Formats: sequence, C-alpha cells, structure tokens
Amino acid sequence: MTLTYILIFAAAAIPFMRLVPARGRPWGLLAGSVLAMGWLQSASEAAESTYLLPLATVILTIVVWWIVRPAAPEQPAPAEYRRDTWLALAITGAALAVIWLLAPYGDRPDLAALLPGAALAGVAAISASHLLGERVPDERLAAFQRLAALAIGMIVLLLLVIKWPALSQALGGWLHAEPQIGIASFVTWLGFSYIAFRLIGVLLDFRAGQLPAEGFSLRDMLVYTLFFPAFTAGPIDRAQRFIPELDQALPLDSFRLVEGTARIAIGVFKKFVVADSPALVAMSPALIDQTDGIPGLWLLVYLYALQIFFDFSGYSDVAIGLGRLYGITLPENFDRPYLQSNIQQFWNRWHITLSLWFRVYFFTPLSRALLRRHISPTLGVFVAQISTMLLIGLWHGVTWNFILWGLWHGLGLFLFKLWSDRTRMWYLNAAQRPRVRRAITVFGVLVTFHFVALGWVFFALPTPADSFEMLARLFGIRG
Amino acid sequence: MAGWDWLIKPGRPYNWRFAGRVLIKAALLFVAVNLVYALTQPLPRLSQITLYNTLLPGRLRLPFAEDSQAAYSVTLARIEGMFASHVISAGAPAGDEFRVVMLGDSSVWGWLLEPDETLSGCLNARELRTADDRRLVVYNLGYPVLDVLKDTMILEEALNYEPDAVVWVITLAGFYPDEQLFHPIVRENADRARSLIARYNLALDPAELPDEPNLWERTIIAQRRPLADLLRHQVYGFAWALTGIDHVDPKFDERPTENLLPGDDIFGRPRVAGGWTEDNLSIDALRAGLDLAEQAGVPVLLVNEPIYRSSGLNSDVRYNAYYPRWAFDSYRELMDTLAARDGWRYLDLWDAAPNDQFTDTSLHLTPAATCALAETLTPAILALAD
Repeated sequence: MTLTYILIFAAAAIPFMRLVPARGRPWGLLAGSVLAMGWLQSASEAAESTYLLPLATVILTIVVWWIVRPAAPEQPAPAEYRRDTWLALAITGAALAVIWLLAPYGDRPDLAALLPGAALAGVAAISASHLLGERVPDERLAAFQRLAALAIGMIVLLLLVIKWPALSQALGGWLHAEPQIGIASFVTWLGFSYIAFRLIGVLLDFRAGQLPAEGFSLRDMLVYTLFFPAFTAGPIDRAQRFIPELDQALPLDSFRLVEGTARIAIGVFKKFVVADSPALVAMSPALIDQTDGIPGLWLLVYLYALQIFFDFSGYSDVAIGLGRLYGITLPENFDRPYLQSNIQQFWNRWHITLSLWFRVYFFTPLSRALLRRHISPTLGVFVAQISTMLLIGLWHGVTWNFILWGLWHGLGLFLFKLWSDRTRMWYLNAAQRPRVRRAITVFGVLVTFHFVALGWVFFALPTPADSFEMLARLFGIRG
Repeated sequence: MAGWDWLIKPGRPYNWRFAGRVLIKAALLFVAVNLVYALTQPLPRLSQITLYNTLLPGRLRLPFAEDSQAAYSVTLARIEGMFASHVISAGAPAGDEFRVVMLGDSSVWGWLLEPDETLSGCLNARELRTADDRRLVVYNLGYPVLDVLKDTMILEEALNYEPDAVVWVITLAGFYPDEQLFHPIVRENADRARSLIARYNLALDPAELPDEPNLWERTIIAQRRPLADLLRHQVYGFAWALTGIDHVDPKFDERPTENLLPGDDIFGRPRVAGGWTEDNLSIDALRAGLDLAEQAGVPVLLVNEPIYRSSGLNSDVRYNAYYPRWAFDSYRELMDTLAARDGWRYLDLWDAAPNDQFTDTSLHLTPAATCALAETLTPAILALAD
C-alpha cells in the first residue's frame, strides 16, 4: 500500500463516516473493500490478474460463508435474511463489474484465463440462488463440517501454490501473466496469505462449534475477509471479534479521528521514513558479497532487523489507524518485540495476530492431542513448537530458507522452554534483587535481539547456501 | 502500542472542537514551516550537513549514479552537497600536503573505473612528493558531463578547499556553446551559472537557464526530491563505507568503432567554415575558471585528454564518432595558439593512449591506460609545485 492509497483511504473516511448513515456503513465498507481490492491488485506486480484474483477471492469467501451458515431455526429463512444476502451479492457483483470496466485494457486477462473464474462464479451464483431461501438444517450439519474440512484443504492447497515459487510460476504462466523483462512470471495474489488465514480460522471455528449461533451474514463475512485497511498486511482478526464491531457501526467521533490519524501518521513515518531508509542498504546477496569485514556484515544484519520491524509494524499501524477511522478496532500486531528479554516474549509481541492464530488453531490443539497420546511433555513441546514455527515459516513462502527460519525459531523456543524450566526458581530468587534482575533483563534483551537478528539471515537471503555463508562470515569462520 | 500512548491516548476526552483546533494548528504549522523554508532557502546549507568525513569515509569522487541501488550513490542536485560528501571536505590540507584538484569529464571522474583506478587514484597510489618534499594528494573533482562551464562552477567551489594546484582535463566536446547550459548540474545550480555569466560576461544566454524559483518552488513540498536525495545519499554512505563501490561497473561490450559513418558533422552540427575560434567555442567559460584560479593564486595545468583515433572506414574524415578531423585539428590548433599567447600551462596528450586501451567510448580508458596517463602527467603536475 503506497502513501497515495493510505492518504486516499484516510481522507475518504471522513465524508464516508459523516455522510453515510450508520445502517448503510457496513454496506459501504463492503463495496469499498471490493473496489479497493481491485485497485490494490491492479497496482501490484500481478496487474494482469486485476480482475481474476479479486473475483476468485470473492468466490472463495462466498463458498466459505455458504459452508458456515448456521443451522436454520426456521424455514424458510426470514425475508430480511434473504434480502440482505441478495443485496450483498448485488453490491459485490456491481463492485466487481466496476473493477472489470476500469481495468486498463492491457491488464485484462484473456477470455481463456477468465473461463475457470467465470465457471466458478456460475457455480457459486447457482448455489447461492438455490440455497438462499434455506439455511442449513440441523441434520446436515455433519456434512457441512466435512465440507469445511475439504474447503480448508483447498485453501491450504491454494496457499501452497501461491507460496511455492515453482507452482506459482506455473500458475502465472497458466493465467497468461505478462512476463516482465528478465523476471519469471509469478502470481501475486495480493493479501491472499491473510485472506486464507481468516477463512481457515472461520472454518476451524465452525468445525469446533465456536461460531455464534446466529452465524454471520454474507455481507459481514465479505467485509471481514476483505476489509481494505487490513487487506494487504493484516492484522489477522477473528471474525467473532470483528463482525460485532462492524454491526455496531461506531461513529467517527473526534477521539477516533485524532487517534486514527495519529496512528496512521506514526505508521507512515515508520514505514516510509524509518524502514525505507535502511532498506536501501539492508542485507542482500549482492551487498554481502561486496562487503569486507565482520563489523560491516553485522551492520547489514542490524539494518535489516530494523527495516523489517519498522516496515511490518508501520503497515500494521496504518491498518489499525485506518480501521479506527472506519469504526473498527483492529487488534494490535507489534508491541516492542526487540525489547523482550526472551524468545517466547518476542513471539508474544511480534506479528501478534499471526502468532495467536497459530497458537489457537494449531499449537494448542496439537499440544493437547500429543498429551492425550501420553507422549513425554518434553517431546510434545518439541514437536508442537517446531511444527508451529515451521508452518509460520512456510506461511511466508515455501522455500528452504523460510523452513530454516522456522526451524531456527522453533529450536529457540524449545531451548528457551528447557532453560526456563530449569532456571525458574533461580530467576525468582534473583528477582528479589532489582539490580541483578535488571542485569538479567538487559542481557536477555541483547541475546534475544541477536538471536532474532541472526534468524533474519535466513529470512532475507534466497538460499540456504547464502545464509550459511553469511553466518559463517559473521562469526569469522569464513573470510 | 504502549510506547505511543502519550500521543494517541488523550489525557481528557477529545471533542470536535479539539480535533478542529489540532487540524488548524497543524495546517498553520505546515504552512509556516514551508514559508520559513521558502524564504530562507536552506537547501545549500542543509546540503552541507552530512555523515561523510565523520561517521562515514568521504567519497573519492563527486556523487553521480544512473542506478542508485546498485551504485550506492545518488546524483545530487546541489554542488554544495556533492562537496560535503567528498573526501576533500574532510579538513584543511595537512602541513605537508600539496593539494591538487583535478577537473574534467567522465574520463577524469572514472567511468567504468573503480574509485582508486581513476587518474587521481593512480596519482595518489604513486605516493609522489614535490621537490620541497610535500605529499602530492590529488582530489578527483571530475563530473561525467562534457561541459566546461560545469568545470568552472566546480572549480569556484573547490577554491574554498585550499588547493595548491588545479589539473583541468579538457576536450573539444566540452566547449560547444549550445550545450553549456543544458546539463542538470548546471541547471540545478543555475544561481552559480548565472553569477559566472554575469561576472565574466560569458557568451551564454542566462535566459536559457531555469527561472529563479518562485515561492512555491522554494517550499519543502516542491523541494522534497532533492531533500530526499540528500537523505538517501547519507544512507547509501553506509554501503559505500562497507564496499567502496560508488559506480556500477559493467563490463563494456562495445568498444569504439573502427569503421565510422561518413560525413564531417559533429552529431548533426555542420562543419564550421574557417574552423574553431575563440568566439564559436565556450573558451570564455574556460577563461573564467582560469581567472578564478589566478585570483586565488592557484596554478592551473590544462590537459587535452587522449582520444580514440580510428584507422578504419572513413577515418580519413573522422578520428572517431565524436570528432571529425577538421574539428579536432582546428580545436588543437586553437588551444596551442591560445596557450602560447596567454601563457597557459598546457599539455596536449590527444594521442597519448593506444587505441586498444579505450573502453566504451572514444574518451574512456582502461585502468592500465589511465595509470599510464597518470605517469605521463606526473612531471607536469609536480612542476606546478615549483
């Protein structure tokens, strides 16, 4: 999201929130989010998919909504429910039509590329029209839960295709993506990492019976998935928290205006001034090759650590600030992670919503499952932590380096757990002495920061060979 | 976001009046800061605030980059900023230093050469000493543009850095009057160019320079690009310090062509009847520089740089793609005459480099040829100290 988008989104909030009546705001946010999705996609590297990928996103969301609709307390469904569903479909369809009409000629995919999307849209439309009048009867709930599992599998598969460079390249070719000079054609499905996790979260909650009994309307589900401030870089909110707030349609009072604007300003400063400056000289294979001396290499690592924090957290601030302006309180995503004294605390403060998502939907269920199988607690913790961090790594991209980055943190968390279990009493005693406690904290912050910073070597560089070479050079093992 | 609570959590509830006041104050502050900036024009002074020569090593040549990300450098607009990042700004000359500044085009700046492979780099590597046992330290103030007025502008600034001598490398293409006011370095420093034109009554039309910036053009908003470039230049300084790279160094894939196109024009300029004279070349811009140096008591050595001399097709009419024979011969004759008449220290090294030592153009030399040229120049430079 560039500065222009941010300014336009922020400026649009004031007339939108002041002029549109509370009842109409969620509808406005629906139309705005679909349009913003097309607009943002058109400016991305995958402009060739300006229409197709937003269309696919919408279809996927409708399918998920269709699966998780609540069991029907009454048949047929109330007229208001049917009307709202049709209205949501109409508004979304109209917004997609606008995207199609406004897509620059050269950016339009050819007909052959559109056919699968059109076929899917047809299926979704027929399904929706057939089922609009009837909610899921209780006796069919089990079947829908199986469908939810299937949908999760499909979304994970899609995520895999998008994140796996070879598969993504193949899909890009299939979409007839216009290859840029010297660059292989990849699919940039803008925001899909976040969309996928929102949808999977809803499906998992549905399977666990944790969605509210009254369910979500199609409109709310679409706005939750596509909410434009959080579209490209999160945070990953939970539907159960987001949607009630959307329905409350909070007004833009002076407090929210000042708070939201200040937060956007902070985010813009962090992203475009603080992060983008070290980005000019941050760790890259070329710069590493050209750099002489160990201190210089460490400087590159520190600069990258600063860049990635201010970049991610700046974007999160912008999203949270924009959310405030539009009446939605998005969750915090970063809270001084580099000032934490151990790796566990770091992960409680770094990309908080992603960590939380994995904790809720993967780590905790897996840990419980392992405990039920009477696996030794140490082995259970090891398996749960390593696999969770591996998945977090893979979420960033299916490459060996992200796997190594995940392993690095998984091992770090596991070792810290062993260490803290063995030193807890000693630490509690030391905590009685403020100076000792302070010294331990400072030492812990330094160690944690350096552990994380070294992990960025895997994150920033393209291959394991590059990363190990860099690590060796950092410690003077190789010249 | 506890760290930002002081900013986003109010001590007391906000109301619309408060929000309005904040907005108005912010707008007024924004306008006031821009107005003060526009009226004081601090860009030249801001350009001199730099991390170079303190936290970062100074650059060995003036910043110029076509690909900033790869060259770890930025083409700055203001001459003050260029000098601020240059190693010449590190301090006054040491007591035993014989400070020489070297002016010229891309061949002096060192196109396709690393910073220590340039003429000045080669001279410094020789660790020369003058007859009175001062260390010869040469500063590369070349800039990759063929424009003698630009050299004079740089020289005027360089004289603030206490040089003991100037080596000014020239070639015919730097003297075309219609190109003097064309290059960005001259246009971005139009105030300096205008001042030189007025003081020395140069045969150049100041109306061709950009107008004095109006109030809007002097605001921070309008000057955000040069301001951002200054900031980027500081950041790239870290990469410069780590790598010593300030220029993309591609391997040239085309050498100057042996077989030339027919015709005796200079890139469309027709043959000048009667050849070059002082009036149809910008010799007055050169004279202005020589006068500035003379007033400062600094001797100048003029050097006509080597060119590629084709022996292929149409070489009876042209030396190379740049120069038809009539033009270059006439220019050399003119420079010989003027040097003899006005007592200039002048070295004509037009054929001092073998043809196989030119890289991508008829003016750029390989590192080996550059250092050989430096060796050729050495006695004349050392003689400047006498």
